[in-house]
Amino acid sequence: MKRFIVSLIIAAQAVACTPGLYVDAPDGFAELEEQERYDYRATNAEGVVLGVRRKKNDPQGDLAFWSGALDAHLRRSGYEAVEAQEVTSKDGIKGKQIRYHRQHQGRQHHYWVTVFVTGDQVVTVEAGGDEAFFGEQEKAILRAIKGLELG
Amino acid sequence: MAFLSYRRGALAFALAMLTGCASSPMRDMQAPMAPPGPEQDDAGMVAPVKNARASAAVDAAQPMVAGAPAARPSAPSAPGMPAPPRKSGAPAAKGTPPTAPRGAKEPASAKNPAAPGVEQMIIFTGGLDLEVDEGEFGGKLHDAVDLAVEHGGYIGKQTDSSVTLRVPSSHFRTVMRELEKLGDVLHRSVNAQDVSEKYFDLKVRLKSLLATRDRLQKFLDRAKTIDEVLRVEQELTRLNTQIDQVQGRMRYLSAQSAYSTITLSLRARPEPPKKIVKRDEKKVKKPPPPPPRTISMPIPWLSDVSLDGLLSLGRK
Repeated sequence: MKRFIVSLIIAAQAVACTPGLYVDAPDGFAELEEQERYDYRATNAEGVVLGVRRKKNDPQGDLAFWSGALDAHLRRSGYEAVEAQEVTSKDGIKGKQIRYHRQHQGRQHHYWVTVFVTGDQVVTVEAGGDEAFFGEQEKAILRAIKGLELG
Repeated sequence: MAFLSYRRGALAFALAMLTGCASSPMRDMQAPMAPPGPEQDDAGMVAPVKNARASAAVDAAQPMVAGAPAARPSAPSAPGMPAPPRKSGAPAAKGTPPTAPRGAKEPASAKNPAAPGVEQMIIFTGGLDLEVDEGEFGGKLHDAVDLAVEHGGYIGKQTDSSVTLRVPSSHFRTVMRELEKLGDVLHRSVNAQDVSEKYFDLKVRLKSLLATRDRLQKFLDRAKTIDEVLRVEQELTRLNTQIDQVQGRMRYLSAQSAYSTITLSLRARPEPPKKIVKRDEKKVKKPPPPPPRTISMPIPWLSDVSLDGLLSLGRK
């Protein structure tokens, strides 16, 4: 019985999480397997995508550094920052979320980038999709980000 | 012999009288008549008028001496005296406003109302300064010449920016009006010179000279000696010269009044001043500032963070 419970826990972690990372995907999203550049990526039927990366905190920087570096990179690439706010993960780690607008294939898209820094790791959560469908998922996406367990 | 001597004396006296009446005015007249230009009309014509009067006065006295015909055109009396009525109608006084050149359709009357039977001879001179575009000088001058030719006129003189036209006096006003349409009129002038009196005086003088020549001709017929013939012929030659000069002068006045002179001058229209637009600093778009200085982060994965990468659903 004890062996069965341990096996079940290990299997559950293998399905929904990578080691040290737990994402509660919004309803209607399906996780994409075997991702090389993302630690987690899921999409709904209308193409709204949620992706999570975990990278080594190198160079060693705090939240301001990494959020600033990402913001500078995206602005230079033509993204229009429209809003910035602080968010907190489920396990209490403070992060910064910057929301952008971007033309993609002739249509307006929304693109959110949220950064968390956990000592030796930098976790980026990206969410984006067509403006027409993203609005419907905003609350669910924000809930999923705030429900992250970064370990 | 006594009779012969008396006859010679009488001939000499008659010749002296004839010479005296014809020579002195003509000597005065030769100078002004030599260059019969329009500008010299006033100076040139005053003398003939006076001389004609003097000649006529002498002519009037002549029959008593030489038995010449008594009929003579009357001449104006001395200044200040009432003028005797002229048989053919004297020209109007100089203050009388001119009506029309000889043969003119316009202005109205070709006859002097104050002296019926005498034709008015008026020399019209017009000047016109027009403002046209600088590049149109050649075309406008051509148009002006064409206009004159259409009305029976001709070109008198032309430069790069002006032309002097001679047009029949009867078309003077018409041509002037047409020329004014070629540009913007800056200046317009019309001068009318009444030469009726001068012409009439010349006519009287010519008649007198012709009569004198007839009388001399009769003397020549009656001359008995070579000396008499030579002296009469000498006088006849001088008289013929005077007659030619008077006739030439009359022809000149006729020609001048038959054709009017119009001088057209063109001036370049000044270019409109260029509008100076004040530079409105607020409206002028300032050049965009240079991009902020950035550093290339040694973080390769940063470039992977993008909407395109997120939405590309592959194994990436």
